[in-house]
Amino acid sequence: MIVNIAWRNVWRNKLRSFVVIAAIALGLWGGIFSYAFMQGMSDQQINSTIHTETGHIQVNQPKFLLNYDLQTNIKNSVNIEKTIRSFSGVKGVTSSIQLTAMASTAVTSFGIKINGIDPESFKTVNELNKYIIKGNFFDEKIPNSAIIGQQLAEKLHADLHSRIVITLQSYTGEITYFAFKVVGIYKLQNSEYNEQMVFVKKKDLQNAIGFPNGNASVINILLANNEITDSLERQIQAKFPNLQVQTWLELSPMMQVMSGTLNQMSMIFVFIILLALAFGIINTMLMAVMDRTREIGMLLSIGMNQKKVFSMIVLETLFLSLSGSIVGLIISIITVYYFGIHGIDLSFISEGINAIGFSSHVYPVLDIGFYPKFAFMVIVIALISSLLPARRAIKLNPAEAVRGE
Amino acid sequence: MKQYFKLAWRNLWRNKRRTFITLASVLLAVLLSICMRSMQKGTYANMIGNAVRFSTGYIQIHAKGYWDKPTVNNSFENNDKLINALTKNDNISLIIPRLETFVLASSGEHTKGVQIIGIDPEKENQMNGISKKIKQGSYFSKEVDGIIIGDGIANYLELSVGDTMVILGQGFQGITAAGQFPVIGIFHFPDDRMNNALVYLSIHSAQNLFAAPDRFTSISLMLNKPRQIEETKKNLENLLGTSNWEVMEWQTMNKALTQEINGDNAGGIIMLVILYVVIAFGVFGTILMMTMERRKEFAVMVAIGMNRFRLILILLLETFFIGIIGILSGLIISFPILVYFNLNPVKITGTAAQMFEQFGIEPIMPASLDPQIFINQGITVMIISLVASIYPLIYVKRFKILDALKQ
Repeated sequence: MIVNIAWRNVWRNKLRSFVVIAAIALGLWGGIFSYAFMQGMSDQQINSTIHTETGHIQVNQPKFLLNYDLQTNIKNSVNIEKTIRSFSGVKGVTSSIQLTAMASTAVTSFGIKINGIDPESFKTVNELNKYIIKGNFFDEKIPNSAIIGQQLAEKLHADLHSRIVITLQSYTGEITYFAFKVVGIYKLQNSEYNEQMVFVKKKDLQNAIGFPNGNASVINILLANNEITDSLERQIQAKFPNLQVQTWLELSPMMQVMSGTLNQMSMIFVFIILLALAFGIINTMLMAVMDRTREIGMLLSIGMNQKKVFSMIVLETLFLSLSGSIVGLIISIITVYYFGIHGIDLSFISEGINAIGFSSHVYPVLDIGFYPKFAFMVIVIALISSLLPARRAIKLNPAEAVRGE
Repeated sequence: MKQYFKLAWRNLWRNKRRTFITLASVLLAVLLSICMRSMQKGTYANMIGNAVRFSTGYIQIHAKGYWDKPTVNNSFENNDKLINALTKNDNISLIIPRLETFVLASSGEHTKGVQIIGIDPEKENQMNGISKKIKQGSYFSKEVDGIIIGDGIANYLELSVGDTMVILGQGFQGITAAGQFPVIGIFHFPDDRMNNALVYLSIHSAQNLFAAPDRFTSISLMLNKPRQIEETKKNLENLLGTSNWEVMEWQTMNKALTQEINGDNAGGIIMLVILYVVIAFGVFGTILMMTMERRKEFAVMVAIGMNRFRLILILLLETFFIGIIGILSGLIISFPILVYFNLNPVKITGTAAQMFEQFGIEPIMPASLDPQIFINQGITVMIISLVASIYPLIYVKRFKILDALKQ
């Protein structure tokens, strides 16, 4: 019976119920949407790392990453690549020579990292070729061609067709100079990467520094999807126990940290939003109870006991929050879906977003499992918020309450 | 007019409970939005403070053209007039001269490009407390002279304290600068990029090495009031003239940090807007309830001859009073909370802390006490409450007396 009364009470005063439902729906939407927004930012960052920097897995000699020492290379990398390519789930494999060097133009010089790559196999792992803003992704006709990042180009005052002199150590340790011609300029979202990474053809670099043919500093691997990363890492490690095999997460601990920070921050913000929601509900329900002083006084005086009045108010809140959650979930799913496709344009501050490796459009995403979790949280909050107004209702003195105002 | 104020004021206290509930919703709105914004702003200020202490300072003065072509050729001669003028400026707390450039450093078989910075040991230490970051060996003193290097460089070049590093670079007017220096200390900064790239030596050794006696490439300035950076910059530009000098603030020199803060700010603003939407509905809900509760009262008043527009005026004044009281008490309550979190900042834990350290920032989220936050959030919430009070105004203008009286 109480359930029935509560249900009818909800729909008796449509405007009031509408306000509470809308408040709950908005609170739920606020929580879900801001969480999805943060999640979208961090996912984008991870994808961009995998597809433009490390691939899913990188293989190198155990001590290579400490010094980028040329001598610490993978012998006979061609065969190793072939073996890895035969694993199921592997989409692309490429190997490169990496070393640190100094790039100079007539104007100035900067420390850089050189990557000697094989353009054809590189494309199967890395999407850098899609981020060329000027020129081409290598030109077979031009010997000693190089691709540099936009920031480095600015710093060196270099443009397409500029010559860059690179000072580097040869395979045997002597200091060597080598001139490259810029044929392409790329712009990734990661400013630091744009400033440091210079790509040249592996063959040219081999000739320049006398690096042994068939060897490589690192092998990068792209997989069909991210879920199989750990299992393939184990398989490859088992096959080549002497090499260091790392996933993108191990290679860039920044990623781990980044999503950790975003999580922590979004948790704090979601908490603040839910707190605002809780107070909204408490206030509206309190008002609603006061508005109905007379009605509740009547119920109490014709013999409805306090327990029943209490549960009536709580039940009303439950119905309101259930309806609110459903509306909120629908709005959330629609907005997350819509902006997940079209993105939220933050280009008015996009420079800033690019610096930490985000794109200027943020595409919110949320795991489907989060929706019920958030809805559950909001309903619990609504129920807790209803305790205070419900207590207020049973504290009324029937005799006074019936008299009204 | 005075009468309206009186009526509105008395209306508020006629039903205290109702007023308190509405007040509470406004107060909470102010409190939450101030806390959120203050946390965001405080975190940025912390980032900026840390970053500039370990790099450029808030403002740097160079010879014209140095920033585009950072070589020793674009250095300038020390002059007392300049230093005196800087010392006289009230907002400048520290004047740090440097002579820095990019060189090749080698030891044994390894060579690495590094940034070499000639510093005034005492002043540099006041700026970033570098002497406390020395892991092995010691900081510069009268007895010991040599170089101090980052632990990343030390690992790469396989150097330890007492070993010698060879430096090769270009000095003033194209002279080849080459020298050997004993490593006297190895430092570890929070930012690994600095550990991998920085070599410090005393400014006199640097001036000798680069054949640039009594010359600096830059003078970094720390400020007492970072908020007044623009004024100070303009001041210096007027003083020095821009034909021979460039005065740059950290925003221009440290683009990555500026961009990072702007990017983070975008996310923060979106969160703030979402919070406003939720808050606005909380306030709207209470005001709506209040209107419904007072339907009969309004009807009686209009029935006995009260002009509807006067009633609207009174209602507006009521909202205004509630807004002002709610916002003021929100400000008063939030202030001690923020002062507490300003002095005892929230510590960031776990992997997130590492990220801050990688950026060279202490892993804390202090609350900001910038008065601008209080003003902005106060005004925003006032607007929200006034917008929320449009509903009762429309209601009063339109309701039918008989319907309302019947209830």
